[in-house]
Amino acid sequence: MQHEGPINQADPAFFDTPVLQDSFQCATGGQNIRNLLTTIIGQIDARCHGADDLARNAEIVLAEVLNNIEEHGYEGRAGGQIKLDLKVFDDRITVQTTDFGQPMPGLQLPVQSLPDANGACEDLPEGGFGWFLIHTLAPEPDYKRRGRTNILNFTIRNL
Amino acid sequence: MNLRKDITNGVLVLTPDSERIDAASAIYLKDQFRDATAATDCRVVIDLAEVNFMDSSGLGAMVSALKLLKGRKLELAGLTPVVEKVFKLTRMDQVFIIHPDLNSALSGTGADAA
Repeated sequence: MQHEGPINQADPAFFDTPVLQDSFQCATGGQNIRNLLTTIIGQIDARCHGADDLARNAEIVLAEVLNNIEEHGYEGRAGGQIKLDLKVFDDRITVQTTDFGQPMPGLQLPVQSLPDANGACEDLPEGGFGWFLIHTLAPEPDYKRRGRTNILNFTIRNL
Repeated sequence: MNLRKDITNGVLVLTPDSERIDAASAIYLKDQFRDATAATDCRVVIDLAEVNFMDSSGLGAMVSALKLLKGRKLELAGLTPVVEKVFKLTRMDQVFIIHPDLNSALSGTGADAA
């Protein structure tokens, strides 16, 4: 952030330190991802009294991201390593996930379009909601492939 | 995950016994729903009051359940905050009849969405 003149000590950015900062490791398989999610959301709830929407958004986004890594990155196999770094602020949560699964197709994140809910009942979408939810609650996620590693950075907003 | 099955006031009420309908439990929902609704043509309400989390897999399973009714409406009751958010963000709240709670669902005719 650029400042004009002396640094204003009352600038909110000056005090913008995370209320919670932690790293988590998890191996795919069984109930591991569900358990990790429950642990993380429990910690966020304990630190963010009143910021219910942020915790709810985090649970939705983290579930989709972690399940995607398990189901597509690791193709449903057990034992795939996932690392998750988390910083919780009053108004947002920044997250980095690291895994060693398959790269994203085309080295790009899937598009965010909402499956078409109009039209006949039998044509309703049964999937495709996951990336829509991620892009909606954590706009502009950043994906990188480094060697054999997938790195995803995103910021969950208090929408 | 199991679906408990009750008939109240001529309405088939299905209650998942899991607090989470996610990637791990959603696969069971469609089969159980098919079994529970196969021999009936009455109104069907899924009571979600005890479900505090649903992900996109769970939402997909709900849509699968709706399709199994082949044109009949599927009613949902008692959406908790995260579940309600997932339905609203994806606009799937417009596809189901949604009641605030089971009592409202049972006292209504099924024609009035909340």
